[in-house]
Amino acid sequence: MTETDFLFYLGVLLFSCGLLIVFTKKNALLVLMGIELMLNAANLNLVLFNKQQAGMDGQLFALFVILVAVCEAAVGIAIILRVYHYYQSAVPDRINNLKEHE
Amino acid sequence: MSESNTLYLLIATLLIPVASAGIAFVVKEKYGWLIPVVSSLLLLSAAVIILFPLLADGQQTETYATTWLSIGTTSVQVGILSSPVTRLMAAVVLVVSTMVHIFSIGYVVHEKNTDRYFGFLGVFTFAMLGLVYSSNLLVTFCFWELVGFCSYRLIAHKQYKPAASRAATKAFLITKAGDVAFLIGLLLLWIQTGTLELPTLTTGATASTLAGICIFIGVVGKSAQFPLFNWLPDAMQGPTPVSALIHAATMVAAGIFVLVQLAPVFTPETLWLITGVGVTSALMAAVGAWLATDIKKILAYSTISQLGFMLMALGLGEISGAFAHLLHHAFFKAGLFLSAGAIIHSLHQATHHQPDFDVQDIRNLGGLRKQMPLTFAGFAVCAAALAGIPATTGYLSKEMILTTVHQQNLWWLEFAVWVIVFATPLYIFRLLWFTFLKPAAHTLHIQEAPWVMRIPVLVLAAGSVTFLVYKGQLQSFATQMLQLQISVPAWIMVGSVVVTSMALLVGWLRRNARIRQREFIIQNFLDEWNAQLILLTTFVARLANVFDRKWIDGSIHALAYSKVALAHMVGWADKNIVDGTVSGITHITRGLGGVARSVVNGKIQSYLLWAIAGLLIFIIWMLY
Repeated sequence: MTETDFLFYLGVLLFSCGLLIVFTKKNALLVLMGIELMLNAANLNLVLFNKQQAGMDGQLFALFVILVAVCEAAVGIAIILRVYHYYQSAVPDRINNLKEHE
Repeated sequence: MSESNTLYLLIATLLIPVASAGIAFVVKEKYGWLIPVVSSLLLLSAAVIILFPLLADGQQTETYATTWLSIGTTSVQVGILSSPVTRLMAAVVLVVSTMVHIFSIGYVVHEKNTDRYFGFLGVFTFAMLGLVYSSNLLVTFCFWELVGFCSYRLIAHKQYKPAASRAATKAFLITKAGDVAFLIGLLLLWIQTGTLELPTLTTGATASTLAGICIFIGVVGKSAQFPLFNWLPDAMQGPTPVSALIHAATMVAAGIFVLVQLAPVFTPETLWLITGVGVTSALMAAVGAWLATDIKKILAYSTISQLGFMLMALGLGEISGAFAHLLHHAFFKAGLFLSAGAIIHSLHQATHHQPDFDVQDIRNLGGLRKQMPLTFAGFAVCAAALAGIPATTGYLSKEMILTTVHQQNLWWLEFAVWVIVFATPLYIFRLLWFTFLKPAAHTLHIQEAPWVMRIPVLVLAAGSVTFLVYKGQLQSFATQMLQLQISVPAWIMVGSVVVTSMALLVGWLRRNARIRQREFIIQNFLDEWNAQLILLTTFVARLANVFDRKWIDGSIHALAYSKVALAHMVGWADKNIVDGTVSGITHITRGLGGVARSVVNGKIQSYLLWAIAGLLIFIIWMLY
């Protein structure tokens, strides 16, 4: 196993961890953190693939993703704040207005 | 006149009497004096209205019909038959009814219950008009029954007199006995010819003898012929104007009128029966009129006799002669009855309603010629018409019928008819003599009846006189309208005049013969007979009732119970099998739906999980 392969597996691990956090955590803020983790796994992949060919566009794209992730975190936290004001809760399971109530 | 106008005018004449009756029933007792005046005016307007189609339409025949009800493929039409016969009959009914209404203004002025009286007069007129106009025999039958009911109510108008209510019940029961046969006859006719439409029937259909006889029995009851005539003399208990209406235009005329329309349909056997019954009734009632001492009963028997005369003519096929005589008779008999009513009214005034003084007994009357000259004039003209003296309407129709009888070449029939021709002037002269001409039996201060009672008598008397048309023979209103060609052999004219004069001579010679109180035995005999008939009918009805209860009701109950049981079984099957299947399917569907729906549980993270899972499945499927 080369170093690059190891880093690929690390990306997969990071993505899986993020996905697990998104699925399981009770708090919306932690869900947002899981999303950050998944984005960073994607960034790691971008950087690794960029290393195997000439040019810098992969790394630049990773920078863009970091930038977008910041914005996304800001917008997400704002949404979570509004949701908290409205529902008095940040637990995703409680926010089930779309569900058909029997 | 255009067809729709005729229809509207006829309907108007039909509805005006109803309006009159409605007003009479609705107006409060406080304004009771209004009823006679308003009713008379309404009837007068109807009588004027009917003249327009009568004069304008000539010999036109038209049927205005619409479907009343359909049973399967059979439909019953309700409609108006506008033919010269019906228009003329309706006109006579309306004129006589109007005169009776006007006369009643004076007659019932001190009576109670004028609202009911005028109400039923209106309904009576309406029913008779309906019977006349109707183009379907089933509808005719409905009106026929209504006529019977109205006459029942009007005969019993003086409810405080037990005799009146008894007479009304008798009239009702005896005519009903005839009506049952009439209905059976109509149904037989319906079965045999498949229709009860008069226009269809009179063109080619033939009623079987049985149906004809059944219908004729109904006519016998309605027109008071032998052996069902004894209700009519008793019906004299009713108010005199009502008697005039019953005898002239509405009740008894209904029977003859129906026969006038149906006579072409009957078989020769039926027609011979009609002739026989007619002759018997005419002779018998002439004897009854000779024996009676009550002024109204004499007139009642005379009606039976005249109706028998018409029936005989109908049976011999002399339909137009019989119909003309019916119309003439309506006028002069109404005139006679209204005169009698005026006499009774005046005598009641003069004697102050003394209970022991019978003002209707002709032995108590006399000398009224001087005291009631106008009534005398009217009565004399009408009596002349009844007797068949030349220049009166009665003479014309009598001649027509005599001619037909002579053509039959039957010596017994001809003999019987000449006896009737002889007997009629005899009894009417006797009545005239005792009432008007003979010296007064009691000295009473009698005043002429009021004008409202004199005018109708004079109008009816005027209608009983013939007139001479340009380059023609003598005509009456009826023969003129029907455009009858009267050709009478000279010897019959002379003979009838001679016989009538002989009758008057005999009457004059025997004018002072003492009148004994004698009963008309045949009537008592028939009363007994009818009572037995009614007892028998009640017995049969009771038997039928028991049979009905025990067997028919029993089987209907059994049928009903079995049906209910079956319904319960079907209900159980429905609930458990049919409904069970349906609800089973819904349960399964609901369960499947629940499974499918459990994914959509409102939790964002599980949505995501499923979305990712779906994406993974998609990717794996795309790659491999």
